[in-house]
Amino acid sequence: MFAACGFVVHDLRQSFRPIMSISRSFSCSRPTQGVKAVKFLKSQRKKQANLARQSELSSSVDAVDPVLGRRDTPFINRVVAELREPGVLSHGYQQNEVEKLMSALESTKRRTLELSSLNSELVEPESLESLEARREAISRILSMRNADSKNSLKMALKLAREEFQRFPGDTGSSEVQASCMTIRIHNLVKHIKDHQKDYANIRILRMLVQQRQSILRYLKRDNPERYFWTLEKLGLTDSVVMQEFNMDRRYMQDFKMFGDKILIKDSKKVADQKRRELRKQRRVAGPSI
Amino acid sequence: MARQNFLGLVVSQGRMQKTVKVRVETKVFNRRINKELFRRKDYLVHDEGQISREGDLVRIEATRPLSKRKFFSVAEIIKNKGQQFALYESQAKTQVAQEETQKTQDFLQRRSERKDSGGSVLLRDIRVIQDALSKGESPQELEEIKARYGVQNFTPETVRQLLQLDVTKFEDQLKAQTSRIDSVQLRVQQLLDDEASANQFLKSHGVEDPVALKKNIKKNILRKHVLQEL
Repeated sequence: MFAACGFVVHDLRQSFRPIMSISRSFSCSRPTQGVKAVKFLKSQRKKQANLARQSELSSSVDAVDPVLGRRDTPFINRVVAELREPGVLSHGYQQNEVEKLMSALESTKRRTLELSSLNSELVEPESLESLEARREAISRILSMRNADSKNSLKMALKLAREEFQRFPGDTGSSEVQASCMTIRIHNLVKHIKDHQKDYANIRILRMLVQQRQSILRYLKRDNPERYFWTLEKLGLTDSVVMQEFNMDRRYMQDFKMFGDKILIKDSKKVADQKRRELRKQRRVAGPSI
Repeated sequence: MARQNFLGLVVSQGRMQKTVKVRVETKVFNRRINKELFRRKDYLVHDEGQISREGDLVRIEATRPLSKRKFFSVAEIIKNKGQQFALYESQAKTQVAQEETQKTQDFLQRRSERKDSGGSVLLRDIRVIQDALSKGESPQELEEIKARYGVQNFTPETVRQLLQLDVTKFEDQLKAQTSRIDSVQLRVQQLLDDEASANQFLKSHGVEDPVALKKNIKKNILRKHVLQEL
């Protein structure tokens, strides 16, 4: 530094440069170009890139909703679609059975008429249209589309049980329990979205999620092959099951259970922190683009 | 000096290149409470082959310092539980994808079948059949109906079979089962009442010395053979 200054003074004597140029050449290397500074900047950039990568990794791991699982899980979609089918009846009735019963009624009516002393020619048989209308009415009354939620949940649980059972009639294995809980969870979430102040059911939902977690943890110990199969089927991940989770307001806000409603107000410190993080991310992302 | 050696559990993998985090538990004696306590320490460990997975039990060995925080490397994998999990996970992915496509296809097929069979075909058919039965005629429609249900000729009996509900079918099955159980019990009781014939029966079914058997054991063996016979 002194040597450089000496050089500058020497230079000044020789060429009588204007004062402006003197002040400029006083620092021989700009602070951003010194060896240490360059090293520091380089390490800083490396650190920022690493931080960005870490945050990306952590967010990608936690992307799956711990309550509802992955979006568009085929199993859930299929169960929902099955309940909306036109020919599916509630209370465990089958379409063809109902039809058979109606036909049997008709045929018995006819036979009794023939056996009775009345002249069958004189009695006008019921028109096909009215029969058709009656059939239509009955199928509408019994249709799953018009059934109450209790019945539709019952049917959904039956479908889940049949899909996950280890042998016919299996109702208690861990995967059946987990699948039934998942169906109930989806049902409850739908209810809670409409009734945000139903705290009792929110509590039940919270407990259900925990219970499913614990039974899946048991299944992992008991039969890992079946465990991963169940997870894949229900749209969950290993980390969702193994990590500590409580369905709190933070979760509800992050996963937008009630839309963009703010459930937890950030303190000033946290808000500042977030703003800083955002700025940092933008700075890291900027040069790479 | 021998190298430092630990057994530990892989707790984090895939976040750093060729590096895993291994948790080592050691027992430390606490003098104040006069008891051994577990102490955990996490090491960053070099894994050249990148084969260990989260959940593996590994033996780690000290090496020269590889970086600021890394001075161990994986010597051997003792229990490859984590690798097994990773394998199951990848298998489950393909298996479930296959199953789901199959199930979705089945569902769509059921839906199309339901659409095809819309309308009360049975109701109308029964009417045609009964007309034919009462009048003794055989119109053109009846042929189609016969083909649909795979029936040669319509009599009141076949119509009843056609209209039989599942509930009545179950009832019949239940009746058959109960009658079978009753007949078995009756036969066993008969044999028990008549000791000579029971002994003969048992001898003919390969029992060595039926007379020496206890009463309850005899009854059980008798029931077994009667059940097999029926």
